[in-house]
Amino acid sequence: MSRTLADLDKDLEDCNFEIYRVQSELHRLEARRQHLEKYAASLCALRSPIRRLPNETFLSIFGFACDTNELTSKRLETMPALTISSVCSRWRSLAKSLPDIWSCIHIKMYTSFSLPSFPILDLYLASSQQSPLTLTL
Amino acid sequence: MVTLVTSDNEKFTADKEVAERSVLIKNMLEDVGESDQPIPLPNVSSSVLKKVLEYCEHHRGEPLPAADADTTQDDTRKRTTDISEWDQKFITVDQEMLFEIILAANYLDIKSLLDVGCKTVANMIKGKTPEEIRKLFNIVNDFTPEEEAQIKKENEWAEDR
Repeated sequence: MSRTLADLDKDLEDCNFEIYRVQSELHRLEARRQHLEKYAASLCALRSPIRRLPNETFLSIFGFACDTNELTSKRLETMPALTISSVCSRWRSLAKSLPDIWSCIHIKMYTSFSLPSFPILDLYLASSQQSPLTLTL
Repeated sequence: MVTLVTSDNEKFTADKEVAERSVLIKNMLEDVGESDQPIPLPNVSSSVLKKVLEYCEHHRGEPLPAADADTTQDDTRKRTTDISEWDQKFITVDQEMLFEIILAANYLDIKSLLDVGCKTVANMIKGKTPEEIRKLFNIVNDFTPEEEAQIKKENEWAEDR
């Protein structure tokens, strides 16, 4: 009986060790899978057809996309210039180099806001530089 | 008639009036004068040229933009993203073809087609968040932590950032 119990303890210990080993291997494989997925995503992004467009074409696209920026909605989707500048470093750099896209501003006056604390307007005015403003209220 | 040879070595024949909607081809024809020599288009594949010629054929006879038309500065202001019904149907293609058409229009210097492509991409961007745009065009967020912090600060005004 004692010997049987000793054998059982040994088997349990082996079993626990095997579980620990398999769990460690599982963690290692999961980390590797995450790494591969990230690598595959970055390679896919490199092959993304939009990357092939030259800068001047992007500027034209952004010009069309930013025909108006509604600053009082508190929703990024209505502020295309700000949205475009938040996509990736290339788009940000291009957006910042194109004052025109920041210069078409729409403000809904019935929305409750106070001009002294309206930082998004400051950002738009600064980014529009010397470009003539189109302001609709 | 004009013969055009694509990057995959396929030959297309088109009416001179149609082919000359491309400023590049128009200039090439003017440079070489009367000639039956095919015009090589090493940057355009056959599948894309087929689409481009379809567009040029449909728009044949329409006035071309002035050569010195300003394409920057004020031109980017108050631009409409309206696209005619035919053009809308024409440009309803997968992303790969859409960007190939834009690249071809840029290379061949067909401003109206380039505008249709750019407007289409602009309309795809409009009304989307940065994350939705990244997902749509398979773009990686490559901002540095400093840039991320700056963007977060800029976007604080928006509730759905």
